Amino acid sequence: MKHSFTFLGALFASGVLLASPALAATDAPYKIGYISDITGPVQGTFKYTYEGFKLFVDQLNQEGGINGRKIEVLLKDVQSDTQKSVNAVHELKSAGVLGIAGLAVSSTHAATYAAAANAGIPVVAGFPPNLPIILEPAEKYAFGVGEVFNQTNTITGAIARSIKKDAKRIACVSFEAPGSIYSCRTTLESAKKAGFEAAEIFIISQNQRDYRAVASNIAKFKPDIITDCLGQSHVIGLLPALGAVGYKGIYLNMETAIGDQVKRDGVKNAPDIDLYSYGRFISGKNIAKEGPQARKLQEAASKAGIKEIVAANTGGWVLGQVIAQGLEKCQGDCASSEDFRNALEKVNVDTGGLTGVNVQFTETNHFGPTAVRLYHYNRGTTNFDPVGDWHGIAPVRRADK
Amino acid sequence: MLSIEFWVNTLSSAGYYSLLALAIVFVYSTNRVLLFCVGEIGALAAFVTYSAHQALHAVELPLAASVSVLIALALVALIGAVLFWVIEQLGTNGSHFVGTIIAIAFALTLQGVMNTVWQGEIYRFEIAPVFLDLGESRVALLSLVVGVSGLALAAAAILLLNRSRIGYEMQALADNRVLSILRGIPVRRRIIAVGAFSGILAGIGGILGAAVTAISLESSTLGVNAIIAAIIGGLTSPAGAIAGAVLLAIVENLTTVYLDSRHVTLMPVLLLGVFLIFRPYGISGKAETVQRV
Repeated sequence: MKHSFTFLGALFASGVLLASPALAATDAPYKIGYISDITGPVQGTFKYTYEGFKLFVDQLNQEGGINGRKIEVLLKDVQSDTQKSVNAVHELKSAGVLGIAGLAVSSTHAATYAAAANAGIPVVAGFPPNLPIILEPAEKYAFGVGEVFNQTNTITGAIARSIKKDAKRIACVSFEAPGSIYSCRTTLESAKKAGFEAAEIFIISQNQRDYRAVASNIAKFKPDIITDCLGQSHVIGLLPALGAVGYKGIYLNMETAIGDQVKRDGVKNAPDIDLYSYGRFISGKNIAKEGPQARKLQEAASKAGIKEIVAANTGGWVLGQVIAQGLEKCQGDCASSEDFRNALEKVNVDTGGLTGVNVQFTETNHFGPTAVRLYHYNRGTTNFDPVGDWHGIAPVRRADK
Repeated sequence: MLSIEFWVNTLSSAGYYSLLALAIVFVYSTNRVLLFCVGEIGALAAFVTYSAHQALHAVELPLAASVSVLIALALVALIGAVLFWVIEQLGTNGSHFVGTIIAIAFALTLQGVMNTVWQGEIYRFEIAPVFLDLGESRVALLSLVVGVSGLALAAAAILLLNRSRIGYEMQALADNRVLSILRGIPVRRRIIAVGAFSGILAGIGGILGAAVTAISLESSTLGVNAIIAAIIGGLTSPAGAIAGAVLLAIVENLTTVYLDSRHVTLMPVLLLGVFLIFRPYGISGKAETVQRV
C-alpha cells in the first residue's frame, strides 16, 4: 500500500511537471541576438559598444537576471557585411531570439532592419550612428540608442557658438557617405541659426589617406571653428594635417565612437588646435561620480581591466539597460518577439548619469529626446573635461526632414 | 599659383610611392610576378615599427626608433624572401600567373594577420612637429624629409641594381633565366634576394607613408596606387617607376586643390586608363619582344 502511494505521488509530480511547460520556460534565459563587427574592418568602432553591452549583461546575470531569468546573448560577428547581417537575422530567428541589439556600420542597417521586420523581430541599434527610420513616425520594428544626425546636429551650431561667442566662420568636414554629408548639412543649418556668417562643407573620400592638401583647402576658408562627422582614421589623419598648415582655431569633434585616444594622438602633432568634443554618452578615466550606473560601469570595467571608459562602452551599457527594461516590462513570460517589441515601446530608462536625459521610446518614436555634453581637451592632464551642463535636444520628426 | 607647401606635399607622396613602385618593378623584372601584396607589406612594416617602438621605449632602450625600424625591415625582408621561396618551390609547374596569385593570397593573409594583431586600431608615429616658414607658405619638415629620403633611397636602389654584381645578375636573370643558370648564376638565391630586397623597399615606403598619414589597415591600399605608378612607368623600368610615382602624386594633389578630394581615389585609375590608351608601354616606352628560336 505504501508503495502504491509512493508510485502515485511520483506519477502526480511528473504529471504536474509535464503539464506545465510554462514553469520550465520561465526558468529558461531570455535569448537576445547581438549583431556587430567584432573582427572586421570597423571593429575599432563597434567592439567597444559590445564590450559595454556584455559588461552590463554579465553584471545583471550575476545579480540574478530579470524576473529570475538570465539573459543569453547570441553574438553574430558580421564584419560590417550586409549579406552576413541579413543571414545573421535569419539564424537568430531560428535560434529563437526575442530581439536583436547592436548592428554594424550604418550601411548595413536598412537591410538588417528589413530582414528583422519580415521575421517579426525588433532591433535596437546601438552606438554610434542610427538611421532616421527610428524617429517619429518610426518603423514598427526599428529602435535605436545611438546617434541620429538629423537630431544631434540640430544643436551643433549652438554648441559651437557657446565655445566662441564672436566666431563668424565655421567649416564642417564629412566623408562621402550620405549620413555624414547629411550631418554636416544639418550642422551648417544650425550654425546659420546660431549666427555664423559663413559656413562651408568639405567632403573627403571615405578611404582618404593623405589629408595635407585637404587641410590646406580648409585653412584657406579661414574658419574660426571646424566641426566634423568623421571616423577614427579620418580624425587621426586630419588633425595633424590641420596643424601642419598652421590652423590655430577650434576643432569641435562629434563623438561617434572615435574614442578619446585617437583624438589625443591626432592633436599631439597640432599644438595650436584647441580641441573640443561632444557626444551623447559620458566617457573618461573616472566617471564614477556621475551617477549610480556610471559607478557600476566603472566598477565592472575596472574588473575587466579597462583603464579608460570610452563613449562606446557607455553606449553599450545603456543599450543593455534598454534591453533589460524591455524584458522587465514584457507581458507574461515574454513568449514572443511581438511581446518584446510592445514592451520596448514603453521603455523609459534612467541611465543613472550615463546620459543627459532618460532613454524613452513611445509607440511612434523609437529614439526619443537626447542630450549631448561638451568636453574640452586639457593638454596638461590629457583628459577631456566636461564643459557646462548637458545640451538637451528635442525629438525631430522624420517627416520634417 | 601653386604654393611651396603643395610641392613639398607632392614630393613626399612621390617619395613613398616611388619606393613601393620600385619594389613592384624589381620583382616583375626578375620573375614576372606582380607584387600585389606591396601595400600590405608596407602597412605591416609601419605597424611593427610602431609596436616595437612602444615596447622598446617602455624599457628605455637607447635608439629605440632606429631599432624598431630595423626590426620591422628585417621582418618584411623575411616575408619577401619567404614569398619568393614559395613561388620558386613551384618550380617549372609555377608560372608568373601562379606567382601573382600567391602574392594576392599573401596580401589577404597579411591583412588577416594585421586585423587580428592590431584589431582595427589606428595609430600615429610620435614625431614632434617642426615647421619651416617660407614666405607665405608653412612647410612641415617631416614632409620634406619623407620626400627627399624616399626619392634618394629609390635612386640608390637603382644605382645598386646598375652598378653591383648582384644587380647585373638580377638583370641577367630577368632577361633569360635558362642562360643565367648556364652561366652559373645562383638563380633561386637571387630571386629570393630580390624578394627580400623588395620587401625592404616596400617596408620603407610603408613607414614613410605612415609618417605623414597614419598607421592603419586602410593604408595598405597605397599598394594599388603603387602598382598603377609602376604600370604607368613601364613595369620593367626602375626610372619609369619613379616617374610614374611623381606623376601620380602630382595628379592626386592637383585633384584635391582644384577639383574635389573625393576624386583622388578615382584619378589613378583614370590616369592608368589614359596611359593604356595612348601609351600602353608606359613612360619608359619599352615594348617587350618575344622571339621563337
